[in-house]
Amino acid sequence: MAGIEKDDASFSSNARPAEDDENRTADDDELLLLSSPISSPNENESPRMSDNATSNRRKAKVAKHSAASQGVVNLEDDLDLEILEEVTSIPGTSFSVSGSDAGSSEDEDEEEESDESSSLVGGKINITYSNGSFFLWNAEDVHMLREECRIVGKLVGCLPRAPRQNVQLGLPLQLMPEEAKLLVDIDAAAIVIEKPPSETLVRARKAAFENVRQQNFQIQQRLYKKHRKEEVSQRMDSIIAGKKAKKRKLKEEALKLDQAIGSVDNTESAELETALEAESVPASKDEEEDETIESLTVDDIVNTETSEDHALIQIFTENPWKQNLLPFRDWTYPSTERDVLRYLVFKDLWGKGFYLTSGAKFGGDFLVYPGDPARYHSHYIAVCRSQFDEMPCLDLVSLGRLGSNVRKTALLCALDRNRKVTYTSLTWTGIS
Amino acid sequence: MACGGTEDMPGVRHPLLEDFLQQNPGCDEESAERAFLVYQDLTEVRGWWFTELAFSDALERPYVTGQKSRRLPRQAVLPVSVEERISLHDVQTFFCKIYASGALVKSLTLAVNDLDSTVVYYKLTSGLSPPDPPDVTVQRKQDKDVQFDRKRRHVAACVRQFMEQNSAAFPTSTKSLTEEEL
Repeated sequence: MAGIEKDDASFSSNARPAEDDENRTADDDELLLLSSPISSPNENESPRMSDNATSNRRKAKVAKHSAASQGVVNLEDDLDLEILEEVTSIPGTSFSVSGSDAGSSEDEDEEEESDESSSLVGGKINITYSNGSFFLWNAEDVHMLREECRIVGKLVGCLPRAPRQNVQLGLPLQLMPEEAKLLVDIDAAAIVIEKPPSETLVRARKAAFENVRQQNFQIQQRLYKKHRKEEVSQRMDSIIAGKKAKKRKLKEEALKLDQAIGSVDNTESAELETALEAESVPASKDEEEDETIESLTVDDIVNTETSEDHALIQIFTENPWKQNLLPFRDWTYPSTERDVLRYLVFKDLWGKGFYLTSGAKFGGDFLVYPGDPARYHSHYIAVCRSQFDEMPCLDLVSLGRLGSNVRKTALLCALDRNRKVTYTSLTWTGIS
Repeated sequence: MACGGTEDMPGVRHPLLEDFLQQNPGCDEESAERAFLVYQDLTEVRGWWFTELAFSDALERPYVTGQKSRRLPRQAVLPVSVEERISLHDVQTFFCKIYASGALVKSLTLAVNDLDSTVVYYKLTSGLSPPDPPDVTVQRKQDKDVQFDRKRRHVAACVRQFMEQNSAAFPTSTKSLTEEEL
């Protein structure tokens, strides 16, 4: 199941010792209670996927459970369903389509997906061109780019597990046109566009996707119930004792209330009594009830399904579908004078062994780092100007001042007559 | 900082500037005055160890060469008006035409003159010149701190010494003063 990550920490908690759960505080319980899907509080041992029935646990005084996630193990173990690798490009992925409708449409689409994609860009990094920007969708490629090519780019994607923030971002990685062009120039990458999938293919993918979701859910249910049964059977005695105690308590309370009400308002007491009758058990049926409790079996207790909303899902770090990639040919970059200047400066500085990122943060074209930006501060703010572009002196002052304030050198870059890059460093002298 | 002659008072110039203009007839008065302002600023305000006015025939511009202190090498300072516009090509030309101690300069200090005689100095260096490494910056700061600390101790010692002498001469003076105030 390479490249597939399961989206729940509790997936990995299978091996977690049971003590962890014992340590869970009441606060956790409260939180879980709020999101509890359980409607009836009397429905004992109603299971939930994210965590076991904490509300019931408190009522029934059943001993604490370990995480429900224990019911979930690697799906591959349980999946002996037909694997349809044709739909996916990742071998061994447990994507499967058992539904006949999905299967039939699948066969038609196989022919549509050409083999060109694999031969086209074999051994190179694929940079996807989309709406004028360049993206990398593969985490391994992103690492390789940084480690081997000194190309940093910028992560722009929302993190699936932390969607409501933009401090930390994830895939895809967006590349500046200079970065993309350089990678193509040194033959390390190819720019591709993805041919939009046909409608039938989209339908097939959707069906396959939903199928996998459904199967995962069912497997989780099965494993969860199995686990719950084991757990409940071990604690059957205390559960029954708890139920009896609870009933006794309710009865006592009802009696107390009866006495209290008897001395107060008559009309109100009548209403309350009727309400209480529903809860309290008539004394005559008492023993009978006790017997039913005694005869409770594990199956009686573990009989509810969890909601599908609480199922664990997979998040992919790589596109699981077979892609129809085409080479991106009509790329005219660098077309303008400014693009040429920026690209040549980028290439020259990169060729000197620097790491470069966008310089927008500091009002320049590039930030130039002596090493990986994660470890070093940048040394220069590169500002690209054409050779004969006349700048007001005040621009020089502001650039120099900015540079000294952030402990960087403003680097003025221009092309000379032979298209060679000339550099001029601008620093504040310290003479104010 | 009035330095050169004005229209109202023609001929009232600093003798050094007068000499400079006579020696370099190609130099226009305005830029000569600007250069002289920078010259004065470096000499009088910044206290440079050595300063000298120079003129580049190729650029038709006056400039200043000088040494901040005896041990530091001579550098060139090019005065420019705040209204001037400079291209990077111009900057490259400067590096080919401006001499200090008989050799072409690798770096040049641009002295930007505002109309109110404010001068700011920015250093232009040909090629890549990385910022000071952190240890150098830290060392510089430490040196400065040490110097400041020494000064402070000196001043404090002076005051203490005076007070001791004072109290020896008039042992009750401070006490009686406070009593009076009360």
